[in-house]
Amino acid sequence: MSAPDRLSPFGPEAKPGRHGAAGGTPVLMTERKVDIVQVMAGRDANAKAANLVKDATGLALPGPRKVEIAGDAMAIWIQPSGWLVIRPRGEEGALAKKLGGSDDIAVVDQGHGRCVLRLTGAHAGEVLAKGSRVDLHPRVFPPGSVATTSIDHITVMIVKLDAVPSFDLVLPSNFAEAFLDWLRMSAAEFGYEIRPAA
Amino acid sequence: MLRIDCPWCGTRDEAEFKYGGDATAKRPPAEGDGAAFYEFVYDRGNPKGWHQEWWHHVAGCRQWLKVVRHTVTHEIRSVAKATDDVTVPPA
Repeated sequence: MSAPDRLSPFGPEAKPGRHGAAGGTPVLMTERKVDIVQVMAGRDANAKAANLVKDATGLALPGPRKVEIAGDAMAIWIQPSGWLVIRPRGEEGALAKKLGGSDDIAVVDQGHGRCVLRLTGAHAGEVLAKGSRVDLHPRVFPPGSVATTSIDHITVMIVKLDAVPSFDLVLPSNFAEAFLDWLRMSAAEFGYEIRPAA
Repeated sequence: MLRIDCPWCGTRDEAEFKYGGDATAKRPPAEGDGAAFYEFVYDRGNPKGWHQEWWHHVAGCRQWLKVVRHTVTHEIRSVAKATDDVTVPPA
């Protein structure tokens, strides 16, 4: 017996389709179906945490403001001795179980607590800049960077993926619908397209 | 608007931070008398000049930072990690 499909944290309004201004290059919004696990290392346990994540996922743990990306999976630095490990959705809880954890390493499944929205398109940076206080210019925020900040009073991790630009936004799931509301308003002038979750 | 140079995240806007008060005040021992606790909790100075204070990067890396700020000009002289010792310029 399989579990029913998970409801999207972005709510009933997040129906696929083209919205906002017509013409031009739309900003594409795609909910990513992922597993998210938070890894927190205790005192002097950073190297141990790095080995743990490397063994389970093949990802290296990045330093401050950086993201380690390997194919569909990534490890995000969120704070000193704290990371998020994200990869395509598999069996419920399997990633956290595989990582395990120990006395000095806390592993917490965030698969329901947080969600990821991919934003891509020539105007994606401008859409975010309207609500973000972080400097997103490629000179200071190149691909592989991450910044945690507040947009519309919602804490968002902005992960820069490439020069298109594309971003993965890591959001608290219970604010995802409210955040999408802001994002749609911000993207309306450029036109945007909501893609089916992938 | 202040720009605070977080040692972890880089220069960020004041709006991402919460002010946490005097970073030199020391919590008295729990078994101490009530007067010492009253002083610690309520009896804070209102200095004019350089001030060492706590700021919490609450919408960022969530770390507590020690900021040396001038209470008149708002100039920020240094931002350090919570465990660092900082020097405060003479008034």
